[in-house]
Amino acid sequence: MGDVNAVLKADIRRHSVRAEFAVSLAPGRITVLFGPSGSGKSTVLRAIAGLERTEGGSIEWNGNPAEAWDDGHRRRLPARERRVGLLFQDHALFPHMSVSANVGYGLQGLSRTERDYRVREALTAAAALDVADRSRAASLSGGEAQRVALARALAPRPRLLLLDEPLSSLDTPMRRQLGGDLRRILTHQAMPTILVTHDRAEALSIGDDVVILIDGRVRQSGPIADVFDRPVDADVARVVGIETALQAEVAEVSEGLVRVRLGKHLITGVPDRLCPPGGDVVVCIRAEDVSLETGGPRAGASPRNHFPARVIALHEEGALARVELDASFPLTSTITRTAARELGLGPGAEVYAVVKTTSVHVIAR
Amino acid sequence: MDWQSVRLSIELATLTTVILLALGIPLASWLAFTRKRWAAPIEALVALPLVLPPTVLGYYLLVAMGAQSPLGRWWIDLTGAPLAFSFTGLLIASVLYSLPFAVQPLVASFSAVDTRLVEASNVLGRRWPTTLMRVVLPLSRPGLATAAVLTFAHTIGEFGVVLMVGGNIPGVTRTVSIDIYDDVQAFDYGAAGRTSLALLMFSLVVLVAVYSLRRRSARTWAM
Repeated sequence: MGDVNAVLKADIRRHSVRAEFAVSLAPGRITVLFGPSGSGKSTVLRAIAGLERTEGGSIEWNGNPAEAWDDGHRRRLPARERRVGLLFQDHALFPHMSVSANVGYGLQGLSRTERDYRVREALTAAAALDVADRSRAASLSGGEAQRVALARALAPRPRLLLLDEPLSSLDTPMRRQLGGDLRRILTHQAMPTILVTHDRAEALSIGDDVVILIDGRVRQSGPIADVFDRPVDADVARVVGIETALQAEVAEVSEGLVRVRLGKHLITGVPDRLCPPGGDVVVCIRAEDVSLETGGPRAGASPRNHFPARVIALHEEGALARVELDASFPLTSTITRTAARELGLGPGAEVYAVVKTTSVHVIAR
Repeated sequence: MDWQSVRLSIELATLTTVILLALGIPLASWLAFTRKRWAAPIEALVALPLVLPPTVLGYYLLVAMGAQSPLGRWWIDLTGAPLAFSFTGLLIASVLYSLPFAVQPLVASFSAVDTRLVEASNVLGRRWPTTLMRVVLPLSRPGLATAAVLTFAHTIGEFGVVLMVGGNIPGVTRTVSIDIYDDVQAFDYGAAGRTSLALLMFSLVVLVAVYSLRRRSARTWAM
């Protein structure tokens, strides 16, 4: 996991969450806790902040049991002594205070001058200097409130920053704009960040590393591009947004490629590492890599994977259409709405699905 | 109207209100935010004066303050005078009797404060007293006002406990409500009627104030 110079270990057993993972604490490094809603991500974040008990688990800072924030039994460092910055999902700014009072709230024992300096420093870092003079936090817009809340978390210079679904309360255009800004801000900080999200685009645009949490268990972790491209199993593949992820068995191996049996068909794909015939694998196919046509196989065409399928359902999403297919195994394709109309697609229509070999990722288990 | 008893009632109500806010705020904040299981019996104990006949509470207080009880003897050793039938005794009784009228509105308004604001304060390194003073209380202003007004009004109106614990000593324990009772006993219906009308108007004004506050508080932080 990148330059690991210190590690936070969290083992949480509350609410049937039993997650144990380590996080790199290199300054500016962003670890994403990723999973579907209800997977326990927020519980983990709250336990690290000291707002939930681990119930027999533990939270260790610097991998040192002697420095446990929570040993699950007697020793439990109160939230106020953990020196973490927490950005709540809907900001939780103090509505009756001014912007600067909010940002300065966590600064204790400083002179007025020093305090004002730190407040401005934090507002600058969070790109919120333009609202510094607002007298009521309650008057801020969603995006402004988010920046001020980030400034409030940064001001006491915490040793760890925790962000709970930071963009989820914002509308889509705002989310896109702030996502990029957020990564720029966070990578320039002296502390590492743990960010919780269930949004794939948000995770990819902000994170360095990722920890995949499903039903309260850590299923995979590592650099975000690796995990999203090479999920270890079908569950993780689906969670990271690969529409078709199926367990299968290797039928034959030749010239570095593998042929696996899916339904009635043999599908050719690229394995992530050597897998012997008979081995268990997960076949991953992204919906945008599946194209549809009405005719049969043409001579001399490069795709090896060409098989008949029947349309089960058609969902229109903006300019695109998601097509659920039965190809003797479940398969999803994304094509343009125009193409769907030209092909005369509708439930029951017979088509051919085409997938390039290089788009079939075969993951050995 | 007997202005001496009016002044005494106002003095008693003011002191009771001040003491009850000082005691009620920490107690109510604990009741509103604790997850301890034994908070329920404590809450029940606080609510007891709402259902108990004032004579029952008065009886126990009278016994507790009497010269035979450890508390009564300790007080006599300390001050040289008995606690029962004194203004201090009456004040203690009033504080206990009006406890739910202060604590319940406070618990309600503290509980309505967003828990995440309390958590945010905690994560930002602040101890509970700071969180209470800077976050919880400012966001509970209408609840504080309701608690103060209800305590004051309820103390002005109390009768049974006063009669049991305080008796009827002019200038010491004879409050407005006792005054009305005395007037009726003496067949002075004119005086009783005037004082009653004054108390009726006072109570009505107080309740209008409380309900206006409650309506405004519903709007203030609705975002």
